[in-house]
Amino acid sequence: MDDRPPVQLPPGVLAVRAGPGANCSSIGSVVDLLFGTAVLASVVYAAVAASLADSTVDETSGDPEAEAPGKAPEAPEKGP
Amino acid sequence: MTRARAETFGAWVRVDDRTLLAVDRATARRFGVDGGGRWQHPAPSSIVDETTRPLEVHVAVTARCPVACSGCYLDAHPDGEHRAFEEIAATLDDIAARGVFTVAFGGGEPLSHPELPRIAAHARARGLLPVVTTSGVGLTAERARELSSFAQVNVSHDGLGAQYRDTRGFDGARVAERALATLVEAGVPVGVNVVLTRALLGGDGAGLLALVDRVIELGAREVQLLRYKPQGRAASLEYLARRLTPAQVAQLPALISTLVSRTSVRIDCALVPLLSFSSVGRTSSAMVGRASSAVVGRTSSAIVADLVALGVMGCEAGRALGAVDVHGRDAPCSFLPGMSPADVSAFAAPEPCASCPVRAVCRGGCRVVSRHLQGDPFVPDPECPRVQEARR
Ligand code: SF4
Ligand code: SF4
Repeated sequence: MDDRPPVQLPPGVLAVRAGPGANCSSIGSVVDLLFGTAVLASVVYAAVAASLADSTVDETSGDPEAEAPGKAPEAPEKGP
Repeated sequence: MTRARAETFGAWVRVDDRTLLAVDRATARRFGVDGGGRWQHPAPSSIVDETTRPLEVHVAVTARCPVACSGCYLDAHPDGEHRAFEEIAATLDDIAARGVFTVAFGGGEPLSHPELPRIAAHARARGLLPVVTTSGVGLTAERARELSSFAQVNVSHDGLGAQYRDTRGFDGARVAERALATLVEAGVPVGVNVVLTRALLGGDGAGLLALVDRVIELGAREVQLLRYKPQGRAASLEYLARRLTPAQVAQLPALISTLVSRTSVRIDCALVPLLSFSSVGRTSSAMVGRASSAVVGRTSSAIVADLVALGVMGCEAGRALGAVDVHGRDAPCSFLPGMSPADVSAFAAPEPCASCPVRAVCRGGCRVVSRHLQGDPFVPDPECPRVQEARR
């Protein structure tokens, strides 16, 4: 049985959500790669390379408390 | 600009309008992210269950809709109220501060809100990626040009000609198609939302395939497939007649496989259990379609790994997904108004989900369907084939 995942991502990339996900009701995910027809990996490589070359990163904590040293981060917080 | 948010595994990083990545800690550091307390403990072995704050929030801007579809999940009306710009702006400020990446505007019909372009610009200014879904009603060429701040506009289209009317109760196929063409003409990135109903799929899925061919021809760059959900006006007896039949559910993977050969396809959170049936305790050709030779014969653990790699995390209500209704109230997803995000996110589905090989990317299916059919959102999705089999 072939147990190799066909979804190949660049080193260091654990997951990719491709596309802006325009939907007002449910969250969606592109599944083209699952069906073996897309070339998402190369697109992701290019996007990662381009953005690493760009030094302007807007780092958003979204959760200042959890970033304090010593605080366990796992507790779910209330969604917006 | 790149936007990043530290997580236990590393970070979520949005590198451009179309690419949101989960990266490990070393890569996060290369993006300049400092995980602080989140990185104090060893990194988890998987990103599953590690995203407990929304990546995306759905914001209703209006309860008004000129057409009032029979299956509207919000129960919108032609005389519904708009939410004031200042209130929406305050919501956007709040969710931006919470580290959200994408804001999806809905309604009602968002185009009916006179300040929609200003709302999108405000979202952009706060580092949020604005997207919107519309029926296309009221879209003019001038209005389309005003939507350039949006990363993508999705037009709802639920079937060609009479099929659309049968699904929605108003004759909107031409409106949707005109809107698609107008948006493409204005240079706005366009996708199409398709709700999967019994009438659309028919006996062989021909209605869906014809619809997708038509929207590709008109310039849509992706198709988002949505499960029909019993909320708002759709939470009626009609639901039973409109939802997919078991035979249609069985046909779905092969149909999606065919669609993917024609365009980019997204599936929604609620479709996961309907696509997972044949992986569960029977064959491992699931999730992927019998027609796809690239994936047949793979184990369910490999399939789960792939889905995680594609950011599919099943029911994300109250976790990676949040919603704000037209009154400014938080909800776990647009279909669960009035429910507590914390309660929904804490749900751990019992058997047969607890031992299900795809639980990590499904989470027990759709709470909306469970609530409607079982009277309790916190039970396994009764339309999941594995759940149905366990009950036999
Ligand atoms: S058994 Fe539960 S977890 Fe598994 S696919 Fe069905 S609903 Fe999802
Ligand atoms: S309850 Fe969960 S699966 Fe259903 S629509 Fe909401 S987020 Fe999606």
